Amino acid sequence: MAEEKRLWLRLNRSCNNRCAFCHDALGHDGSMRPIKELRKAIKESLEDGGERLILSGGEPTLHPDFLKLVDYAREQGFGWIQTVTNGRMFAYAEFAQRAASAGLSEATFSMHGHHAALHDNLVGVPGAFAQSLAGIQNLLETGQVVVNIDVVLNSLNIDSLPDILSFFIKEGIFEFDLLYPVPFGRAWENKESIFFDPARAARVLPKAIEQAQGSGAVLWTNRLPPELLEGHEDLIQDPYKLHDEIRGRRAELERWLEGEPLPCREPDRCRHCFVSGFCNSLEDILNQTKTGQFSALGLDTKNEVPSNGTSPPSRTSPPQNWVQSWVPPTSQSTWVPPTSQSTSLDALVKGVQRLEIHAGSLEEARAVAPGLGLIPETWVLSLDEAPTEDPFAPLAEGWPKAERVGSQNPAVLDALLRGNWGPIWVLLEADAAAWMRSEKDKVMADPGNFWVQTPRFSGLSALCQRGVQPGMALKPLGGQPLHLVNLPACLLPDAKTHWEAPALPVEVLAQTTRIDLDLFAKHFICTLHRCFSLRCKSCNLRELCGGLPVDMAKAFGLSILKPFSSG
Amino acid sequence: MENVEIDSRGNRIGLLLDEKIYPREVSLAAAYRFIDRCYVRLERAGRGQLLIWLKGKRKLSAKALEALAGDYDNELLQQLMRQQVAARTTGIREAIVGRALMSAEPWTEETEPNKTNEIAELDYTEDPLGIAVPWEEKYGGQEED
Repeated sequence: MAEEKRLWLRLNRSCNNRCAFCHDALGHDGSMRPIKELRKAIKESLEDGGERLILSGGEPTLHPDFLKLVDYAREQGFGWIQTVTNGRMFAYAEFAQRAASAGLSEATFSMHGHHAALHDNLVGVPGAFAQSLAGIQNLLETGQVVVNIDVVLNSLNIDSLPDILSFFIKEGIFEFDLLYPVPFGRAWENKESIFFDPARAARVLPKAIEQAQGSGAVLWTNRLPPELLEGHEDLIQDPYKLHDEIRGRRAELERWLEGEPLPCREPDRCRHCFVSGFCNSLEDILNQTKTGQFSALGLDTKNEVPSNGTSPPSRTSPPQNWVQSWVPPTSQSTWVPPTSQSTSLDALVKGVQRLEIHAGSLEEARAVAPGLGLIPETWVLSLDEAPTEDPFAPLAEGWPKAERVGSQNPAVLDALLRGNWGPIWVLLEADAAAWMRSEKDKVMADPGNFWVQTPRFSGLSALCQRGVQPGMALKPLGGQPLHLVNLPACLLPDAKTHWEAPALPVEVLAQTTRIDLDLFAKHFICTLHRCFSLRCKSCNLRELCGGLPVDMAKAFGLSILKPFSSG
Repeated sequence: MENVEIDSRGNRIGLLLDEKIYPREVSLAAAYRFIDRCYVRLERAGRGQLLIWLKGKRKLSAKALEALAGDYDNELLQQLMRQQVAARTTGIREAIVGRALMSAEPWTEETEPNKTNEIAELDYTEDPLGIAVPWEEKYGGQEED
């Protein structure tokens, strides 16, 4: 499904509340963006296919031309106009009525308590609760505006969450977004009273969620750590939303790639930050780029990327086959080593411990390998087509034999089993899992010959969509010491677990003279974005475990994790 | 100790305290700490002066009576300090207790705010409630820092 085109339009840097958890507080200078500039942005967005306009701030209703902008956006053609607001201005019934008449479609109120003492204390304004509540009622009475609520969870209101939700459900609200505080601005200044013990939240959230859903409410979460949602994993935020976070911090991250320190990096803050896993992984890769020695790189001969070379990727340039631009499209004898004009990868990569090659056929892998200009310490290969000869043989001069060769395709796995060339790498798609079960006798005869790993990218999504939970899929093979790669040991307790450095797709490095943030974000989401259960704290293997892919947690629930508490 | 009278025969000491130095609540709080071992009597000794008698519940030697006077002086200082610290930290203590109570406060019908119909009738262009005024403008002057 195509993503709806949205325009987030910040009208001002001014607010009439002073929320204890505001992460944007440092950006508030009281300024209002000129209406001319705002109209221009609206028009340009529409020309670019914009469908939803989101008016935000500061507090957008403080903008003197708020109503005019709603009217303008509707007149120009925006189909849906939303505002994210504390809603106090809507306490004036005429203001609410005029906003509805102008074409406001949706108002998302920030409400953080179910009574004045709690809410007013959190937003720093006496009387704010009564005004916002009046605003909700006024907008609901128009019958034209969808009203929903954002609740920023914090130490002061987390225990009251069930009451907060039930209070507003009684007021006629049936959609809530539960937000985790962002450790910046005032949220960080007040960290002692804002951030809460996860175990405490985990006790309250199930009750709040079940009660609200039982009343017909729809819930969303935003930046909430997955471990808080055990039992309600469907509410874990879509991992792909991480792209929005990266977009929001792009300037800082780009400067980090240029060598400037990331100003917010401090362990205590990162502990509470939704993107800390991303930053940790990026830092790890940045360190590898400094030496040019990479622990693991992934090369997919089928990958297409927007552009290559020394210029930054352009959204308008036509797709090119990256491999063909980096290595010779023809035979190795005619190929000339890449220059800095054609690619920057050779300048970045001096060595690699493990190279993962994903190729359509063995011939394709053999055509690509010599041009890489690298001799990996070890390499593994996955194929889409069955090999007719030994695929473990060195792909180029000086290369060692393959460590393992595999596929997610049963026909290829069959060929590898028949050929008996070496360890078989099973990329655990639904068909591959079925193949493992059908070949149970052969697997059981030599279980140490099988290395099981979840597939990459779309393969992982397909695995989740088709309900193939690795532990369950391989349960008939229970008791066999298979090799399990980058999956928690508790999914298959008899297996030998290996945590290998996830292979960084080479296109992440090849786009420019440095790491491509968007491609790295995709790599992170698909491979490195993982989570644990709160119960995992008690596991003897916790320090050795890399966690469960978030997609898998969403699909199968965190309950599949069974901590080893002894032995 | 010029302000101390040691009455060995009466098994007691008398302490004359200047209320400008030791506010009455400080003297009382200090005296209260001695009621387990002494009988306490308070007398007004003149303008701005308080005379405190501490009489031993059991027989005290002259040395013990002198030590009792010293203990009382030390207790006076402690109570004075406590009072000063309490005055300085009133705000934060109230905030902590307030927050603790708030997070525990159950919602009841009584705590539901008034449906503010009267607000609804007001003219938003005039903003009589000052809703559209940025926080800094409205309350910023009240910030401590």
